[in-house]
Amino acid sequence: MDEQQKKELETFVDKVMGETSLESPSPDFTEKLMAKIEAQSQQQVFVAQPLLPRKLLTVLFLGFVAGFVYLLMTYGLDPNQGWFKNIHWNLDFSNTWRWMEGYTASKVTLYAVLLFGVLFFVQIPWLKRYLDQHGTLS
Amino acid sequence: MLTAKERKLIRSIRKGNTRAFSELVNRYKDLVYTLALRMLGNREEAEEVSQDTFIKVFHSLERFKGDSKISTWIYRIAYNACLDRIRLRKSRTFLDVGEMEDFVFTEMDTALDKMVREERGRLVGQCLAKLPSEDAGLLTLFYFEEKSLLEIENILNVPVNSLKVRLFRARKKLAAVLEAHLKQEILQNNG
Repeated sequence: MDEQQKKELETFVDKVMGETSLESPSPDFTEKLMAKIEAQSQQQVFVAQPLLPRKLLTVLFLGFVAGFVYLLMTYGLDPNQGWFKNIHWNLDFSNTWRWMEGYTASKVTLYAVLLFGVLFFVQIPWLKRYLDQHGTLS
Repeated sequence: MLTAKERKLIRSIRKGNTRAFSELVNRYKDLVYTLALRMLGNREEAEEVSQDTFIKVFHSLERFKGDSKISTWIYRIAYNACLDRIRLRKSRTFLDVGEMEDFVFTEMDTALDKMVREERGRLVGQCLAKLPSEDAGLLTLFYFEEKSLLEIENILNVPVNSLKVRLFRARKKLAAVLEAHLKQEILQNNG
């Protein structure tokens, strides 16, 4: 292709490209985009951060398991061995609940306690729905 | 590099003003979308990539130093997003134009002049969509971005001299695709 033809090509394409105009995306392009961006930034706000860093938690967990295994290896599970033999189990709770023996409740108290229990469970779905709609109690 | 108005707009967006960001989107969405459409040849994909481009712009604005025009920076993100998309789908079907050397521009001109303006625009759009993505992108940027090779050098990260060569080849390919489309018309004109 000689210089003259190159020049002609350039002029031709300049003219042809002058015929094209910018294309526009769909009319709600900006609204859709902004909705996406807002949804993303909300997700970022609610990212739960652990109170302790993952590394520390791993070290603590491994330490706990290692200590447990060490105790198990050293003393075994025999209740007559090691520090197990120092624990005196007392599974008799009769002394703890003796005060209940002479207790009687009036009907009003009974109904009040029942109603309190029912209302306590009623507010769980109500609270859940409220929080789903508003995201917060305040 | 940045105008005072642009600087103010960016400051406002960084403070979390989403309205300011939508102003920025409205200013550049048409060229970003046109670039994506020409490179990808598909409206749905072009819209998706344009959305991704602006989401990336929003999140990277914090790191934008302002050493180039903001439009240059946005088009660079858009161009790279298109290349990524093309890499994902691996192939784009475009016309194999081969090595065409002899064009009769006057005949093509006459054939084009016979068409209505909108029809001509549509035909050129169709032909651009048949070029390899990088050529279509280069032509779009060159003709809509004030024909500044220096700006395009910043967008594509390609030296001006190589750009001139690539632009020449892209023009040649476009002329070849157009000629293939206009063949029927030209034959009719010649009787």
